[in-house]
Amino acid sequence: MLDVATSLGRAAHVLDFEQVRALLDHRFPFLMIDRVLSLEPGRRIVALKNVTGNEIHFLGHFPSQAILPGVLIVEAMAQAVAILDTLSREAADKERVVARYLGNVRVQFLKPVFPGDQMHLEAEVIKQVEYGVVASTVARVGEVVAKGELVLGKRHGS
Amino acid sequence: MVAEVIEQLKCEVSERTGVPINSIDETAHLADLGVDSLQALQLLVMLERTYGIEIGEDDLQHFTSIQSVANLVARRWEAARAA
Repeated sequence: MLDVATSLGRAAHVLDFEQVRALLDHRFPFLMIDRVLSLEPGRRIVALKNVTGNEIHFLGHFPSQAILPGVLIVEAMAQAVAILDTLSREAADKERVVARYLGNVRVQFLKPVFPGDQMHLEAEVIKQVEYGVVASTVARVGEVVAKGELVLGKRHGS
Repeated sequence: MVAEVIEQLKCEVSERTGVPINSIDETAHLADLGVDSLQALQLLVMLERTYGIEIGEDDLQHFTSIQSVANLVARRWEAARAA
C-alpha cells in the first residue's frame, strides 16, 4: 500500500511543524516556518514556508491582489536564523533566552511572493557570538525572491 | 594603519548613529556614541571583511572605543601578514 505522504511527494525534512513550534515562541499569525528541510548547526539552514491565501495579512495586502508583505519575508528569514542559532548552541542556552530582536536588516526584494508559493528560506552564519548572530539569507520560490543580511540579537534571563 | 582604521570606523559609526563625523572622539566609549551591541557585532564583521582578519568573540572586550578597536585590527592585521 502506498504511503499517503510519499504519494503526495512530501519533501524530506529534519524538523516538522511541531518541532519548529517547540523552538520558536511565535504563534499564529506570526509563526512563519512550516518545516526545516536541512540543517548544519553553526553553518546553514534551509527552512520552508508554505504561503496560503488564508493567511490573515492577505485581507489587506492587497484586497485586489494577494502579495506576501516583504516584512513577513524578512520575519520568515529571521525565524529561520533563530532556529539555526538555537540549534547551534548548548540546550541550556535556549532556556536562558527570554527575547529575540532584529537589529540591522539589509534585504533586497526581487520578485513578489503569492499564495500557493513554497518559499525556501536559506541562511548561513557569518558570525555568531553569545548575544547575537549575523547571517546572510536568501528566500527562493524556485528563483531568488529576496536576499540580504540580518543581525539577530537576544536577551538572556538571569 | 591605525589612523586609516580610525577614519573608517568614524564613517561607519557616523552612518549608524547619525553622530556627525567631525564630532566623533575616537577615545569616547562606543556606547556613549550610540553604538549598541548588535552594531558592534556588525562593525566586527565589516572589519573582518575589509582587512581579511579574524576577530573572535573574546576580542569584543576591546570594542570599547574606536581607538581600542583600531589598535586591535592593526595587531590582527600585522599578525596575519607575518604568518
